[in-house]
Amino acid sequence: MKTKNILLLAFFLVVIAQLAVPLRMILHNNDVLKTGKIYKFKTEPIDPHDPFRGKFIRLYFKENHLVLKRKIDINKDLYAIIANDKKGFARIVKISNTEPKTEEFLKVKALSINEYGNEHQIWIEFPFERFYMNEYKASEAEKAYNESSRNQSSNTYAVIAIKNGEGIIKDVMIDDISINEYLQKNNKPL
Amino acid sequence: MSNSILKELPELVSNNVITKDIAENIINYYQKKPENNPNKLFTIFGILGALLGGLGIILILAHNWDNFSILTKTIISFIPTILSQAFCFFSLQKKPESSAWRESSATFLLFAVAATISLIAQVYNLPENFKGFLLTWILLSIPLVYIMRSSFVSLLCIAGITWYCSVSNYEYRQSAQFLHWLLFLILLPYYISLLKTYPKTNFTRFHHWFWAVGLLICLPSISPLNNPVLLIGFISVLSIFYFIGKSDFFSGLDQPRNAFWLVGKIGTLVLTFIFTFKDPWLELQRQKKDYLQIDSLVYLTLFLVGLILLFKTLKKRTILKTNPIHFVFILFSILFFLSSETEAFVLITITNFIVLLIGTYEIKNGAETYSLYKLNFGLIVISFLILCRFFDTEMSFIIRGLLFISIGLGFFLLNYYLLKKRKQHEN
Repeated sequence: MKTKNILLLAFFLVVIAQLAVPLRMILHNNDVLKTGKIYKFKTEPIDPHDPFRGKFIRLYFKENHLVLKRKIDINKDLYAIIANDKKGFARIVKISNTEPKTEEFLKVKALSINEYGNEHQIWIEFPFERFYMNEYKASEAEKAYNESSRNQSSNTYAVIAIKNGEGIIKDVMIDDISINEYLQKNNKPL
Repeated sequence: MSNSILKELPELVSNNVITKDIAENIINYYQKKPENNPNKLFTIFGILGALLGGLGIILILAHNWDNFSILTKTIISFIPTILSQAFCFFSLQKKPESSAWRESSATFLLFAVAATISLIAQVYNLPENFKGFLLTWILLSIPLVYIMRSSFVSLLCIAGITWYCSVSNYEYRQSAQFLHWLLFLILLPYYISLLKTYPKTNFTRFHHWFWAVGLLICLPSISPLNNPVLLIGFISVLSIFYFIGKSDFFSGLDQPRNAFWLVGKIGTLVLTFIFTFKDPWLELQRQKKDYLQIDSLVYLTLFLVGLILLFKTLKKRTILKTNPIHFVFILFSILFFLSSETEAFVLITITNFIVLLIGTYEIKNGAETYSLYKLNFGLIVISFLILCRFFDTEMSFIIRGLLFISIGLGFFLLNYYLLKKRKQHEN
């Protein structure tokens, strides 16, 4: 009987842990979305899928490289300092191995680094590259993007909330309209 | 098998071949035999049902029902976990003795936890962190092995830990992580308890496989800087597996061809075969061997464990009658140490000779014990060795052709000879 009680107690602890982990993920996410600073990252969506989480559009960010004057250790943690350009889109100002104290930054991974004399061109990968969508809408979103990109004036960008080095996708926009609304407006099927 | 024997019993009794008591004893034996337990089939189908059901729920929710609000989607995401937790609770309370209930509800919960975490990541577009996801999943599932006494969850956790080790250590530019060893350690007591209480069940047999393969895959993670001394570790672990597989424990269970034995034997042969070529030795000579690294100490310990097990084995038999495969790890380690100062030609000649010796021993042993399996295994080893040498020697086509004909004839004649000898022996 005593063993059974211990087993049940252990079981309830596991139950709590199993529920607490996703709950904590939600709370943390909401905190970044609510209190983080908002940036717009120019992007190109394409449409792959994940067997567990369904269809998503993978975002390729145009602002994904920087030329540095000094060498950087890409095996260590990398911090990209973010600022807005004149048109209001995010750009990488600096990349360093030390965590910035004042500026807004993102923790990123290096894809590669190329040396050209004294210059080092570093290519980075952002942690937020997936925007999950309804399985029928993901491919439509890609088509919509392709159509809109033929028009030179249209803009596709991801709205990202950034806080303490972490970035979370809030939405993906085509011509300042949320991609879901854009698909509805253009009469794309569900 | 048992049914056909049971059907014959009345006839045997009526013809006075066996007594009534013996017939009853036979019936009792088959009734008590665990294989006749219908619960086993129920367990298998229960697990299969939980697996398919769990995956089905994941797929339906992965559709991403964007007509629902985020709150609704969040609540739906939690349903698989809460539902399977309720199943587990029911199993613990009402069906604690039914392995079918325990195994299937625990398996369902394992997948439900993954589903909930994945779906929350989908609903909230959380940053991708597969390594973190795997670790969280394993940590939230391991307690189920002990609480639900679930062997299937234990197998999935071993596979998961191996996967986690590969993702966190072997992918491009990863720093060394050792957490998977701790996770393996947490699962070890369950495996030991299985060995003690249910040494003969299929779940235990599967555990042998999962542990042997899992540990072997994770071994290189000890060497973060690609220290070539890892090879000593590899060959030692393979020999340890081989000795474990040949231990009294497995002979007592009447399982001479178990996972450890097979992984150890085939692994040792494969590694030796690789080093019958010149290039691996040349590569090894180019690499810097760091014997003072901390991981080299681990490999030395493994080598010593191998030595102890070898001496234990040799106590029971004479050296001359022992399969040369027992000594491969020592010979290979000596060659490894001498590789920098020795000509590659000498090294490959010795490794070729070792393989030839193993093949010859197997043929001889097969002929002596009338075992076609051992005889042909030996022939395959030698044929494969000759085949390998075709790639790096410049033999004329005539010699190659003649060699192949001799191997073919060898297969035919030796098998014919053995079958004839076996017949004579049986008569």
